[in-house]
Amino acid sequence: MPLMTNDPAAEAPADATLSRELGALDGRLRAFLATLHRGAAAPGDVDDLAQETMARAWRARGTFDAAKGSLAAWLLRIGFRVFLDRRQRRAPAPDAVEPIDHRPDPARAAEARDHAAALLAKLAPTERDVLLRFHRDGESIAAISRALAMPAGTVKSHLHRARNRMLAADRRAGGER
Amino acid sequence: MNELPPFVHDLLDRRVDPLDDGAARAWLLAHPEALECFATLRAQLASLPHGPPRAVGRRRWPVPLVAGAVAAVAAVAFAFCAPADAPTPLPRPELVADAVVAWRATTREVGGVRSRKVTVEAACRSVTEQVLCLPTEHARCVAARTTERALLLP
Repeated sequence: MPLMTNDPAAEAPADATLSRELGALDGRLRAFLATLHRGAAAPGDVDDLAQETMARAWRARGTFDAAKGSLAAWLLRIGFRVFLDRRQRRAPAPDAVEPIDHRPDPARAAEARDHAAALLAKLAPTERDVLLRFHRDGESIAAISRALAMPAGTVKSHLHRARNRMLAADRRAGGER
Repeated sequence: MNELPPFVHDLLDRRVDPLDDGAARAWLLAHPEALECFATLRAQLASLPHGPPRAVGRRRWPVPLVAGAVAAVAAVAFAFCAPADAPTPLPRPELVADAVVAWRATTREVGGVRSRKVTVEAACRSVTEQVLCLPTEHARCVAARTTERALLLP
């Protein structure tokens, strides 16, 4: 999605290059924003957020410093801010009516589950067991500690290691981003 | 970034969404290279796949029963076995699949002959038994048997 300006002919060459580079990151930005919604974005939400992110990025293009990081990281940071702003505005007031429940997209949810299953397979059995008990089954640390006959601190260690390994495995799977 | 900072783990341990915590949001904004991985992990933790029913916990035998069994085995071993020159590790069966072992029960006893038996009862369950001769001066104490019963999850 190359960015459009009111007067493309007036764009400096550097701006034209930046516009192309930002446009090339559009798909990655949308995937990131959809992931932040955990697959339950309302129709049009991701489009709106991506549009707003690109607009903010364009307005702030003078602040991008390649020496401080990649263009992708800079853009995703802006996208994250846009997401947080939107999330804060949408935080329900105490007397607000119940929001519409946006069900996760089944195809995206299935894809996420397959991906998670692949990452889970790389964990040590105890780490996987602890992770599933805590995050999937909702068991407390104390309950897992009792069930597996290990101290609560050990349960937490397994849990933290499992999360870190999933994070690292996902990073490797995604390659250099 | 290959690891979350400890305070983010602590939030997750308390079932607090890190995006609802100011310090975690600030950390993520300061580490934009971590944003995609963090978002993916957060989404995955919220939708972990369901597998086959998992055992509620490690199989627990009543303490008196376990204590009695251990005492009986120890008594038999003490009565019939002379101490070996070097400690001999009891055999450890090889499980049939690289999978989650939801529970495992190991029993050890003396007697029998050298043999090895591996039985797969079902796709998700295995019983592995191994018997190994132990060095001893007593003829009646010739072997140790280890049995593992495992419920396997893919």
